[in-house]
Amino acid sequence: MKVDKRLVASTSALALLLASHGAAALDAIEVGEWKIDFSGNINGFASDVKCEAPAGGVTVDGGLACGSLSGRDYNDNNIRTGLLPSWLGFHAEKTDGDNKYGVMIGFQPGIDGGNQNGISGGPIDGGLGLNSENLRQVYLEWSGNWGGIRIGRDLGLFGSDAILSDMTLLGVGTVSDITQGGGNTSLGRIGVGYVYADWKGQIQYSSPKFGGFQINVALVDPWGLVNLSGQSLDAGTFDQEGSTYGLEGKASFTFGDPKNFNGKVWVSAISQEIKSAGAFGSEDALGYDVGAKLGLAGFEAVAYYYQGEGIGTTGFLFDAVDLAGNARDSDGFYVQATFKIPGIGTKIGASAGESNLDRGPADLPGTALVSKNESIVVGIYHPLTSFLNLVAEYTQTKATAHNGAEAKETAIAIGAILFY
Amino acid sequence: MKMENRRRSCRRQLAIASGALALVAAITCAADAPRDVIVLWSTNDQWVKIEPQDDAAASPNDHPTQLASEAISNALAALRIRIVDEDTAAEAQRSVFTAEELRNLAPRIASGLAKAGPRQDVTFSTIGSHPRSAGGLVKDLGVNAGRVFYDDGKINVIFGELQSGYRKRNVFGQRTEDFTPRQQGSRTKAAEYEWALAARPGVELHSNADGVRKDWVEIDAAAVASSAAAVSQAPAAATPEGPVATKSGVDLEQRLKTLKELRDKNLISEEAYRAKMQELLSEL
Repeated sequence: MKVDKRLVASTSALALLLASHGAAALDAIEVGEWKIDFSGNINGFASDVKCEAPAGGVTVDGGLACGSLSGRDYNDNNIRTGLLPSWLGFHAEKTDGDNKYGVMIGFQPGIDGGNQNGISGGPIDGGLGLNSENLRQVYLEWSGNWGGIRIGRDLGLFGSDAILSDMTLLGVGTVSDITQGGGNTSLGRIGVGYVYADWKGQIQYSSPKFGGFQINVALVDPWGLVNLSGQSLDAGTFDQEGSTYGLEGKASFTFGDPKNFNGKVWVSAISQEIKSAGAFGSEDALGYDVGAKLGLAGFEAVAYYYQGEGIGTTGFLFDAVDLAGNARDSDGFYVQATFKIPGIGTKIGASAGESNLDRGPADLPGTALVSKNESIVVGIYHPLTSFLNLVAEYTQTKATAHNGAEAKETAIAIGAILFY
Repeated sequence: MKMENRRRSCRRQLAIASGALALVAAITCAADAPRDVIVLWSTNDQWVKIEPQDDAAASPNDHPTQLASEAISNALAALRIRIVDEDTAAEAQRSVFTAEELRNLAPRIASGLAKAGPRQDVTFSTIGSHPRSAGGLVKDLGVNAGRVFYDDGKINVIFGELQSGYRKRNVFGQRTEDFTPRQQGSRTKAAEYEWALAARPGVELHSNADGVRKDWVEIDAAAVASSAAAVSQAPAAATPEGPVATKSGVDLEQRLKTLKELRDKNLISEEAYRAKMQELLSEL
C-alpha cells in the first residue's frame, strides 16, 4: 500500500505539537502540504427524569416516553451525554490545483457509566460497561469546481437538516427507556418530530452551489429492520443486507446574510427495498421530507415535516413492517422558535413535534403498538465564552398507543458543552 | 385507519402549503434582496467582496479608482507586523501577507476598487501559512481579514483579523463554520490583536482624535514603489519576509533564516539562495 509520507509525518508531528504549543495547539496547522486539525466537543448534563407508565402496568410498544417499554413508573437521575455525542474529530486536507482532498475520522466517546450490557453480557456500571464507544464518521473526500465526492461513513441525507436544526442538539431532549441509565446519547427530538438521519456507509456526490442551490445524492449501505416494539418483523426475517442499496437525495437552497434575513429550505428523500428471506416477499421503504429555517435579527424559526411508507419511526426501519410483513405508514413534524438576546448572546427557545406510526394491515385496532410520540421542549442556551455553552432544558414527552394507553416523561437537564 | 389517513392528508396539505409558502418567501426575498454584497472571488474559506462601508457617517471613498494590480501587490507586500519578544524586548517584523495571499488578493482588490462606488469598500479574508521555525515542516495558519478603500490618494486597509488562528467548529461532524466569525475591520472600533502593524516608508498608521490606530494603515503606493526601488539598489536591504536590515549579528541570523524560508517556499532559486547566503556571510 502506498502511503503519503507527508500525511504520516503530519499525524506523528501533531502529537508533539499539541503538547508543545499551548493555547494555539487546537488551531489548524499546516504540515507539509496538509492542513490538519482536531475538533469536536465534550458535553455533560445532570438529568432528572420522571417516568409515568400507562395505568394498569401495560406498555406502549415502541413508545419513547420512559415507562412506555418498561410498563412501570420510576425516576432516573443521571450524569450523561446529551443528544450531541462528545466528539473527537481528526481532519486533514490538501489542495492540488483546483481540487481539494480530505479525510475525516470522528470518535464519539460517551461519558455515561450507566448500566448497559458489559463484558459479562448483563447490565454493569462503570469501567466494565461497554456503552460508551462509537465511531460514526470515517470518510475520504475530494472536491473541485465540479462538486465533491465523499466515500465512507457519514450522516445520512434524509432527515439530516432536521436534526442539525434541532435546538436540543446542544441539549438533551427526550431520554426514553432506551437511553435512560446509559447509552451513547439521549434522543433529543429523534422520534418525536423526525426520523434519525443516522451514520451510514455511503458514496455521496455534492453538486457545486449555484447561487445557494445545491443537490446531494448518495448510494447508501442497506440497513436491516429493527423491532423496537416487539410488534414488528426484524432483520432476522427481512434480511436485506447485501441485497440492495439504499438511495438518498437532498435539494437545498440557502440564502440571505447571517447578520440580517437568512434561511434555508430543503427537501430530501430516502428509498430502500427491503426483502424477506422467507414468505413475506418484499416492500419498498420510501420517505420524503420538507423543511424551512428562517432567521431575522436574532429570531429563528424552523418548520419540518416528513412522511414515509415502510421507513418506520424513530430510526430508519424501526418498526417499519407489521408481523405479516406489510409496510407501515408514518409521518411527523416539528416546529421551533428561538431568540438570541442581543448583547448577551443567550438563546431561548421552544419547540413542539410529533412522530406518528400507523397500523399495518395485520395490526389489530386494540394493539399496544405506539401510535404517536410527541414532545415539547423549552431550553436556555447561554454562551459563557465563544466555545463554552451552559444549557438548561425542560422536556415533556408523551407516547400514545393505538389502544389509547399513554406514558409520560418529564425531564430536566442542566449541563455544559465545550467546543474545541 | 380512515381517521389516520384523513389526519395525515391534513398534515401533508399543511406541510406542503407551509413549504411552498416558505419557498416562495425565500425566493422572493432572495430576488428582492439588495445586491449589497458582490462576491469577486471565493474559495476554500477565502474571499474578496465588495460591501457597503461599515460606517454610515464615514466620508465617501474616492471610488471607483483604477490602480494596477502590481501597485496593490507592492502596497500590501510592504505591510509588516511588529513582533516584540516579551523577554528580551527585541523587536522583529514579518510580512502580513504570504506570496500566495498576494497573488490571490492583488488582482481582485484592483478589480474591486475599479468597480466599487464611493459608499463601498472591498473586503477580504485570506489564509496564509507561516513557518513556526525557520525551514520547519510545521506552519501556523493565520487568517487575515479586513477592508480596503482608496481615499485622498492613499490605499487604506483596516484589519479585523491579523494572522488570527484558524479552525472550524465541529457540530455533529459538520465542519461548516469558522470557530469565531471573521471580523472585517471597522472604522469606528479598533480591533485588538496579539501583534500590531508597523509604520514603514510609505506606510502610516491612521490617526484620529482617539489616537493612533494599530489596525489601520494608509499606504502611499507611489512612496512604497520608490522605497522598493531604492531598496532594490541596496544589496543588504530587507527581504520581503525579513526584519528591517541592520548590521547586528542578531539580524544577520534572522536574515539567514528568512533567506532559508524563502528558498523552502521555492520563492527564490537555489542559485539565488546560495549567492545571497554568501553575500550575507561575507558581512561577518
